[in-house]
Amino acid sequence: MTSSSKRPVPEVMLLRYLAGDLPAAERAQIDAERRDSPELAARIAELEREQAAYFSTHPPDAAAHRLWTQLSVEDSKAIARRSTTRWWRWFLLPSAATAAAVLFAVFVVQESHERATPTLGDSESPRSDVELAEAAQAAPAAPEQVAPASEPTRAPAEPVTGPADESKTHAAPSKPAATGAVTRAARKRPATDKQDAPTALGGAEGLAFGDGGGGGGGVGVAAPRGSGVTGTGMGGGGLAGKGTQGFGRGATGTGAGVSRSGAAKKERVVEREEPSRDVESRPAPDAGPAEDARRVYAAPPPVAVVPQAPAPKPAPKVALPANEPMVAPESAAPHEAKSAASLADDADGAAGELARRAPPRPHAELVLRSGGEVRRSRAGTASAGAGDRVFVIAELSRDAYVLVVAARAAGTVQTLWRGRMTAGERREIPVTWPPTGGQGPLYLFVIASDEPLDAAGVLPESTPLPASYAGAIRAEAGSFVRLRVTARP
Amino acid sequence: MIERAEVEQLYARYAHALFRRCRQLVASEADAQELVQETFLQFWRGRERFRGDSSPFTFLYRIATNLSIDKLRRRTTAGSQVELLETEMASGQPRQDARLTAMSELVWLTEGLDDETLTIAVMLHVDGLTQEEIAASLGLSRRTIGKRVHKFEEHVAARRVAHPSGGAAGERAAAAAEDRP
Repeated sequence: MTSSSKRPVPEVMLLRYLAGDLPAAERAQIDAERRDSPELAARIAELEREQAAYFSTHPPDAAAHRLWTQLSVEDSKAIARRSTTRWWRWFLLPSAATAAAVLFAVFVVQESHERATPTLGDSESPRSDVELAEAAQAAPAAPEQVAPASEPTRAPAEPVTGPADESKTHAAPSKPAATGAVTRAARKRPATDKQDAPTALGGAEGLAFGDGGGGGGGVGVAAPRGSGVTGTGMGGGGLAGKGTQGFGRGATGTGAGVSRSGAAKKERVVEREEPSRDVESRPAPDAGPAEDARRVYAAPPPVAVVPQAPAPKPAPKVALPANEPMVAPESAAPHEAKSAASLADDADGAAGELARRAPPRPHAELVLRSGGEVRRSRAGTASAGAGDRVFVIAELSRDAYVLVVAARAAGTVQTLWRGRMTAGERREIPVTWPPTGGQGPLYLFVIASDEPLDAAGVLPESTPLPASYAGAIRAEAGSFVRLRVTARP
Repeated sequence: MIERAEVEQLYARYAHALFRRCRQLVASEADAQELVQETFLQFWRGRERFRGDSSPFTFLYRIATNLSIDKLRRRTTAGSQVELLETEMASGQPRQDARLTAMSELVWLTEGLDDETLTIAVMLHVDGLTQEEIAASLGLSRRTIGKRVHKFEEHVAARRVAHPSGGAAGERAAAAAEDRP
């Protein structure tokens, strides 16, 4: 202890002295001072009395009991507090895992969709074809829209050029909607499968991109069966990236749809009939919006079926430049035409001839360019506003007549462009947007055919269009929407 | 690791000293007894940090001091001590209870200080211990105590600059800081 003898001993030192906490030297010093100083002795005596009184009032045993009791209570409260305030943490991991799974599924669907819309001569064209078939298989088909199996239909009084069994039409059973999974049944089926023949030759095939408010699914294209018409349709609605975006593909007079919710990132795939089977087309009855969203518009019964031609050798991919000018040249890109022509030349023999005769199977891709930035609408939808410039980019691998029509839910059909395109030609077709006045859902269809088509023959005005597609294909100001059609054998 | 029986022994040995420490600061027997209980609770929860380098009394004393200062600050936040201090400053008359004045000033001056510096300041300015005694009590070096005291004085001087009517303790601390070379 180094405290000076001239100043009073600090109280804390006396308390430590009483508690026996002081070192021996300091304790001896205080003992000496206590003997010499009655004042210090009185202070120490007072502290001793107070200490005794304190422990009589607060006995150590009782205090210790209170201490442990309080400790256990507080620990229990802490545990309860943690359990009540952190219960949501148990949901973090499953939620994160679910979100990751959904994102992964969305990515896979997007990738498969992009692969399903190849460019002319894409080396992966056969695979994309399968993807398209898969999408068609996975599309929804309302039971009332599909002819029951007991009502097989056959193309009446029309010459059938294909095998007899393929001219038969069957109604595939309508399967219930499947959630969170993509039907992959058609993935492994070769693109040149004979089952595709009716689709490619006699039926109407549509690829529709749509944004249905919860309805999901695209809308197939109506094209007269037997006329060699291959149609591609696009339906849009709502705001891109919001609500439910969907794309679908109609095949053989039926619709296909894969809807993906932009908010919940949840896929919904509705099973539909096999695209290889012909289904009698029936005008969809007036139904509710939800059913309309999944409605499939079928073409009339096939009048002619031509055997499916084998797929030619895939050609190099001709990608659409990202920053193409707003107004595309009228002439086709030479290198692309050459590529397509070489494709045709490579096809020799009867198979090659059949490939030439087979109507193109268009693929649709919707690209929205805004402010110089090109972003692909993964769900195949985009939005365009009044006055926006909309282009339809069409590429055909064979000569065909192309018909671009716009239709509203009210049944108004307007021909936007009609002309002849040669194999390998790529054409940007400017479309005044919106093509038809008034309000209501709006759809854009691009149909390729071996023969000249009339809009009325493809999309009769009596055809009820889905009413659940709120809005049209919209684009932001200064942007344009491209419906890219690539025909492959 | 300290066991429960040891804590009970420590309570029987040091509870009264801690009670007086707390009562000296908070000026309330009920609050002081509550603080003693809380002191042993914190000691038990933080017993892993007690390595036996210093006396258990020093460890407990430090906890009790910090808890008492916190109690005073909570009172200050509630307004009672602030009103008391402001009344004293407005009247310019020193209060009869010099201890309460010192406590009020201490609370006001030590806002933002760490626990160790605050404990040293209390032992230096409230308990009247020398730096050597503080070093011996806390198991720290004399140099460390000097640094902490210097830190406290600078802090008080800064508080005095920000609030010129900071009280006598602030004036003393500010003067000590100015006298430093």
